[in-house]
Amino acid sequence: MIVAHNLSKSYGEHHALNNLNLNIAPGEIFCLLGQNGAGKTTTINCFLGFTVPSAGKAEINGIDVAEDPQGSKRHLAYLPEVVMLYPKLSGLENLDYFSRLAGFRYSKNQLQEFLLKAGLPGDSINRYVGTYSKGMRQKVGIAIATAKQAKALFLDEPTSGLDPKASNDFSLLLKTLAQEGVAILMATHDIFRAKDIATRVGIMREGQLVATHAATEFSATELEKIYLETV
Amino acid sequence: MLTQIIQNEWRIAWRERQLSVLWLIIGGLLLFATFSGWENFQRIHHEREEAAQLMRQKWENQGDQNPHSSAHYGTYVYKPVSILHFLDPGIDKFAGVSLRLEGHVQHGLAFAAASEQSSLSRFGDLHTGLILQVLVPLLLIFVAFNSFQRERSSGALRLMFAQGIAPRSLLWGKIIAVWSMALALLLLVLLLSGVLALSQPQLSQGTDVWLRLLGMTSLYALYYFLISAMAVQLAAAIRQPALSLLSLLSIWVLSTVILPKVVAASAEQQKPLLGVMQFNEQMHEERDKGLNGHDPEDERSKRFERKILAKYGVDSLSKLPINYDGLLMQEDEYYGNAVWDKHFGLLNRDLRQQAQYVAWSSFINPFQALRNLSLSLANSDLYQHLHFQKAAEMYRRTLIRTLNEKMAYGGSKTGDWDWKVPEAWFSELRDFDYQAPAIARSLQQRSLELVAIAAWALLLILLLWMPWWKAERLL
Repeated sequence: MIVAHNLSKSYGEHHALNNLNLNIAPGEIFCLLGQNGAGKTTTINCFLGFTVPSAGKAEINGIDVAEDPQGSKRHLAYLPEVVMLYPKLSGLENLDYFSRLAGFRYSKNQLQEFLLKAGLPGDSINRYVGTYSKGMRQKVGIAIATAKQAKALFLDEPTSGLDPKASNDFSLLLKTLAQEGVAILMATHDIFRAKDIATRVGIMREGQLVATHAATEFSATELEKIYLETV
Repeated sequence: MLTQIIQNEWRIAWRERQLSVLWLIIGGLLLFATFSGWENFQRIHHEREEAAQLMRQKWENQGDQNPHSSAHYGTYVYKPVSILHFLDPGIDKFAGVSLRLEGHVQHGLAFAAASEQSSLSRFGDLHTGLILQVLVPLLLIFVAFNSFQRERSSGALRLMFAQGIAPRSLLWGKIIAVWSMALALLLLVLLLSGVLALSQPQLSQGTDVWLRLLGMTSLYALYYFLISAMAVQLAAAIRQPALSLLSLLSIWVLSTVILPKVVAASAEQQKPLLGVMQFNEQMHEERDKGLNGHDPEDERSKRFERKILAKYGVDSLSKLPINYDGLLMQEDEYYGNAVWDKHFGLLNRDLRQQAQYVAWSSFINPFQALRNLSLSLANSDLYQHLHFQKAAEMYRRTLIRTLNEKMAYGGSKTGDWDWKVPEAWFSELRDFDYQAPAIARSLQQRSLELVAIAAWALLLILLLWMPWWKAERLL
């Protein structure tokens, strides 16, 4: 579902991404670990078409992102680190707008269901997003992603800044999506969260994917040790 | 997808307090300016109508009069004010409104309202045209800038692209949204203007007024498209907010304030005009000494006398069956007309060349095209002013020729200055009835500006189709 063939991105002499090969199947959660500047966000940007690769190919559901950026976007959803949305629109209005941009028209009840399923409290659905906490905004973001019914989900540091409860709720949501057959690529610094939800974990350093492990192979502590040794 | 973006932009513009307050202020200003412009138009219209009627009354009630005395007594004509004056008053205030018509001499237009005001009030009269030309585009610039920067800084733009919106669709959506907000203001002015014009059916009859109003609306709509397209594309292309806003504001200041002044000054340098005193002196001198100084007045008179005596086969003026004074005065009039034609022809040529020079600048500054076309459609520009001046002069010539011919052939004899014509005869002379140029003529004179503004629209649409509008460059 999410495939990278020798994907590279250079800025002059600097290799932000170097020969990345990746294949994430439907139902799989792949967590990319790495320090700042390791190439995690660049990888996601290449799949989203926000960065043009210098070499190699990024594919979503068999569609080359560079060749058909709009076609590939039909199959993906994205959740950035900070989901600001439109502060003067309610959670429901934001979800409605972004769904319509993706070509989906839902009834008010359906929109409410997406938001509730994402964990947004029912009494805040019609409040302006400007009054939401970061966790609540993330939930609207995940509702936007699920409402798109995408087969591939890209998340860039989605749990950063979330409180433990919100973070845990978020993990459960991702697991549910994966069970529904969504392929998930998540960039994160949170080793313990990665261990908790990932099917596989990849560790990046200086633009290269230097190690890939099944999350079941190690405990969280062992994974942390491997991570520290690798980076 | 476009509809969603447009609806969303409207919703946000309405909910963001600063923006909605700005819209309300500009809308309120437009209503105020249109109403006060209409009041002003009505006052000026009635003043001029009354003055013209008074002059006609005086003319018709001048009593039994010698035609030559009547020619010197003369009359005044008043430049009728175009009904769309209330939207764009143009040069009327600066160019004078009344013209004295008399024998032997051609006067210039007098009583420019601005000459009685301070330089400050001359600069910045608040009228609908000024708000539509200067303030509305500034508002559109802010809306376009705010719209892009808000989404760029909040990350909503990334989410929008991830949802599958194409960069070009986003640009079009925003352009149409910003443009439609301007169109709403324009519609407000159009409706109000239509209602006001309909309240004076005697002034708004015929299709010309309505075509002009429609033309003005279309012109401003096109200009707002240019501003929206330019502002959105610049806001999209320049990622740093401060630089983006600075660039947009610089373009606004340059196009609305600096360039028009520079171009006007440059046009004056290219084709300097004579001062009024110098111009009148030259006319006076050529009338005395003959065109180019080759045919002095006394020689012309002697030659004309010989010609008339020969024509009637007599050897002295006293034997003529007609009044030679009338013929001589008309002959002098013909000469004066030729002198006027030469000098006003040259002045007219220079003014038109200046206007053409300014018109060419529309290709680098669409604001110039808008301003010139707006004045032209309101029938308050230089061309209309020159048209009135020419029409008044033609009327003066006919009037004075009729008076001189009455003097010559009406039954009096040479030297009979006490001879009088009954008052009723003066009433039969046709009154001045000025017909302003039709819209087709106005637009024909502004064809350069029309081409320029259309070229700008095409250019901005072409820019939208350029391959550089990619998500990676907009984020």
